[in-house]
Amino acid sequence: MARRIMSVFGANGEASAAESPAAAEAAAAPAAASKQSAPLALMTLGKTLVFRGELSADEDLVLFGRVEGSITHSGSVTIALGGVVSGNVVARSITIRGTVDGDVEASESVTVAPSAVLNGDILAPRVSIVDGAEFNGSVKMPPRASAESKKARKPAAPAPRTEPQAPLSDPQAAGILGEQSEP
Amino acid sequence: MDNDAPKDDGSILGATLRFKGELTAAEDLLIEGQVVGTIKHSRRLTVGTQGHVKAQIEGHIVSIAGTVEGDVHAQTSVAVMETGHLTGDVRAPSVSIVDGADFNGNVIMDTSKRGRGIGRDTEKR
Repeated sequence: MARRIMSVFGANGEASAAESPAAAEAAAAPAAASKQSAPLALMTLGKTLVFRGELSADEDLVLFGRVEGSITHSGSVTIALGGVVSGNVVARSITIRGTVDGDVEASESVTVAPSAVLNGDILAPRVSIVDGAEFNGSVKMPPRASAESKKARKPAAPAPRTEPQAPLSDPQAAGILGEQSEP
Repeated sequence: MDNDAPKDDGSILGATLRFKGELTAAEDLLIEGQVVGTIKHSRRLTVGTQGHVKAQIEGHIVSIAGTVEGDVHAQTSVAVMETGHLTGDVRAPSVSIVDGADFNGNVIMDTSKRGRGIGRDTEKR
């Protein structure tokens, strides 16, 4: 199934890539990705498509059309130049080149390209907003990153315990300062 | 007769896609996923072998190779392929049901509209 879609798309993409920039964008995205993993399923939703309602999918998605409603996705979603979403988007990774009016939530990353217009909040562990992008909203990064950095910090040496106000004895000072202390 | 593959600018709704609501489009469309609701379409619409549609469908040229539950209204033609399952009424100037197809419903054929389609027509089949 995956292969079939890919092959259908591949034929279309190569044939029309030179003709329209939109098609070129669609073709370029999977071309880069498919070099890494061969059986990649990708779905393009064309310019004239309008979805009004709930949309969910697992295949990587490039949206040129319009979605009025929510998108729930387990893979990567690209809202291409010309694509419009009014509603919330939830996915693993989200790239915005078009327009989104709504909140954007990714378990991996959100990228807002220079051509993008985003009115809504972003929730993702990794967020990039490129210079030129139009963005009104807040960015929230879940505590995944801080949990990791805590783990990283743990093995560090425990702070030396001293009585407050009590001056350090010479051996204590030497221990704390280590090799930097005067001999 | 390669009716399954949409033409150049067509879109494919993949097998994992699930959509509930109203879908409109003006480009060739192949549905392999699940759609519940209504579809308003102005060109060639194909429900692929893995497609499952529970919707009222309005289109120009509709071909069904998957499962459709709901009424199908086409301005030009409706074709139910060998692998197709259709439960619902069909209204179109031209209707074809291939031997082996599963169809339960009424057919209403308005032959006066025949030939008023969108140029690249059913005659090629």
